[in-house]
Amino acid sequence: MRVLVVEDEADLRMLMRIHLERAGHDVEEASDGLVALEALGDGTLPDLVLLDIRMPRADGWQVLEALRGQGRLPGLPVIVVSAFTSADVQQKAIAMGGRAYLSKPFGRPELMQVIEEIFGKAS
Amino acid sequence: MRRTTVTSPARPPRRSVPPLAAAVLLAGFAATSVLVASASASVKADRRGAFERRSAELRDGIVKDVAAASEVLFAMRGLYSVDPNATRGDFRRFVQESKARDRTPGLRALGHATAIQRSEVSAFEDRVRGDESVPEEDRVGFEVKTMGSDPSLVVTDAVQPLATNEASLGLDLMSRADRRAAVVGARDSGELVGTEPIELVAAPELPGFLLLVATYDAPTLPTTEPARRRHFSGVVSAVFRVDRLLDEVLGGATDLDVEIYDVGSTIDPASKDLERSSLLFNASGELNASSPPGRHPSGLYDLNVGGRRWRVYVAATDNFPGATPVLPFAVGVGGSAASILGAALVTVIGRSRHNRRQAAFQSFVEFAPDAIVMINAEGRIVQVNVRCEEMFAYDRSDLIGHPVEVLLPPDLRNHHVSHRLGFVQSPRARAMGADRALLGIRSDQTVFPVDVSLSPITTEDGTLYAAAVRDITERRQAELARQLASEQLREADRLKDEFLDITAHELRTPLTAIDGFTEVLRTDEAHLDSEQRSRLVGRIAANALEMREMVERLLDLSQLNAGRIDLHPTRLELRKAVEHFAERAAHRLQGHPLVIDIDPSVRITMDRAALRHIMVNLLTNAAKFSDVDTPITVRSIVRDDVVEIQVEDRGPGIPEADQKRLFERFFQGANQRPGVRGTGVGLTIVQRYAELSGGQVGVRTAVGKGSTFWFTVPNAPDAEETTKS
Repeated sequence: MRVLVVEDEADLRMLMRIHLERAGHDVEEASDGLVALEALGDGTLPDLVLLDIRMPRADGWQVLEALRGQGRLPGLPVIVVSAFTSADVQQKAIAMGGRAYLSKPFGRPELMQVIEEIFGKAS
Repeated sequence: MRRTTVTSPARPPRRSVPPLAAAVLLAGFAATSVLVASASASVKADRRGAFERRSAELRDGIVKDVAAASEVLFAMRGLYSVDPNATRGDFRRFVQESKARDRTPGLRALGHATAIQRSEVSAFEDRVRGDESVPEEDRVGFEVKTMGSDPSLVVTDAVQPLATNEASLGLDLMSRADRRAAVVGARDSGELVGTEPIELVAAPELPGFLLLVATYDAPTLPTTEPARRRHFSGVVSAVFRVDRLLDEVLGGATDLDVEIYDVGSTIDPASKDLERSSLLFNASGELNASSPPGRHPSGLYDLNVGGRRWRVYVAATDNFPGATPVLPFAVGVGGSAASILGAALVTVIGRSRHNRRQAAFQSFVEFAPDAIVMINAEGRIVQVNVRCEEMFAYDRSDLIGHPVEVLLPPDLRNHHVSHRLGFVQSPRARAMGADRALLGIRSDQTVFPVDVSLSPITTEDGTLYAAAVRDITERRQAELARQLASEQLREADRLKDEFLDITAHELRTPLTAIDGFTEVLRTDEAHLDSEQRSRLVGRIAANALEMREMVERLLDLSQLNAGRIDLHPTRLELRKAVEHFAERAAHRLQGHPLVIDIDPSVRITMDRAALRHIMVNLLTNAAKFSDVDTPITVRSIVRDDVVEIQVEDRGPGIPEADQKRLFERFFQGANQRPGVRGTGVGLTIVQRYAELSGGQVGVRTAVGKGSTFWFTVPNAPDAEETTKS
């Protein structure tokens, strides 16, 4: 499936790309929220979005807000990936339409498990 | 009313504000305690005086009774001198006519004993039984009660009153050890002699004593001891019960407790070893002269009673006037010194019936550390003290007779009048303003916060109300300072939490990269070629370096904040130093071209490490916040007083809203580029080092054009300055 990785840290984009490609997925990257919204606006939606929160220009909340406003969230699974660990942030991520929350630092097993929980073992 | 400021040099208004309110408060408490102590000392002194008067009355009473009894005894001796054969009837008449027992109520009985020889006992018994001057029932049973074999007897043959004293009739005083010495003493001396404490035959449960005077069968008193022995014919005696004596002397009063010891004449008069001597009397049974003095006044006095030394220990009891406060004085101010003062005041007033006490009280009030205002039931001021004149800047003549409300700001006066009426109707000592701020107003109309405690005082002129007023300006200021400090602390705490949050967040990102790439290297080893592997290892190293630098910056800052940085300024060639730092921090420049526009001749005096910290942080920032390939320029401008060093970038510039907070610790601007991370402490470190080096920092920036951060160091061309922090 097609996965959009929205992350301002080049190293983390690269890391997630390695993990996801190893599992057989196609990866697209966006270096901040604005780039992500542009990518999501061109009509061809990915199957999954991995979304960082703290990013310049437009952060993850703004991306979630925009997607919800466009009514796309029910069909588009978003996994919020952030270094914020407080319960508040996790709850907010779900409340704003995120499907799951993954906290940094994470390893390959954690990433894969979150994806499995959404798509099942077949993914 | 006329308002004047007190200008008398003797009483200048005390307005100076000591620096530490807390110290003042403590000093105030201390001063109050001292005053209260001295006041209570004067109360004690007055009590002492009263006690001394009372105990002297007591001793006089004892001495007077003894003297009265001795008068009777000497008169009786006269009777027996005139008529050696005086009958018991004569004796009884004499006692009755002398009204001795009326004059000396402690006197239990008077008696007479006749000296006889043991061989004469039977004849003597017959003679007494045959004495028809008294009723038959009082004489027929008479018999001599003697012990031992001493040939000389002194036998009691008359007692008045006889009722309850029958048992003493016939008693041979010489055969009773406790009486014999006194009889012999009286015989040989011719003087009044007292016995040691004896068990009275008629009332053995209570100690008593006898006073004895010898009679002689000679027309004139024998003048020598042998002659007195030769002419000795008997003794007249006064029988005392000590309790009755003291009851009489005390007259039923319970204000004194008395203990009397007979210390004889063989014991050193100065001896305090009362245990060895005989207890004659103990009024309450509670007193013990051997124990340390209690809270009430007490005294130890020696009396001469018939040649015996009595040690009289007198102590005031709870019933002693003034021993307990006459008025209730609980002033509920919860430990306020003002309340203590008020309490002492009421106590003192309660007791001051005496002029001297009133004088002591006046001076106590006059020089009390709190302003004291006394008002009557109408609310008019009847008295103020010096401190009150000072505090409110009035002369007392301008206050006395006026409503107390002149001391309050106008807008509080009406309210106060109703409060005052309420207090007058149910007066009890209390603190005012426990739940609200009270204000006073000086003659110059300046308003100040006060604490007030109130006490009703009952005087001969009716009830007065004393208000002890304390200026709490300093306390209020201290409270405000404390509030401010605690707000600042809360803000600092909030910033710290925020910082920890951000730091944790910023550290997690490189950590995630390191963890993740390491995991990839391990698990995907078979799928990686050598180029991919070395790229991953390079990224791991770069992220580890980034973490290390973040941690170092945090440590720098914490050391700066803790003041643990010592600066050692040296003379530096600025261009060389900057080139060196730029080279070492090349990785931070991330490919930005660096232009160093500094004349090689520029020298500054600065700590090398401080310059490095400043340069590295400014260069890192410039690289972080501007597009790759845009140049970063370092230049210097030498002025008379300072050398300014600038770091210029072609970044986006800093919005005005962020500029003000730029140098705040942990602050991070909103306008960050993708992938830019930080803890928000870099510029704070720059600022600290610049200031420690005697310079300043600043920024010139325009959105869209770039930013120029600058700092200065003092321009000291020749001086070898040593700035230490």
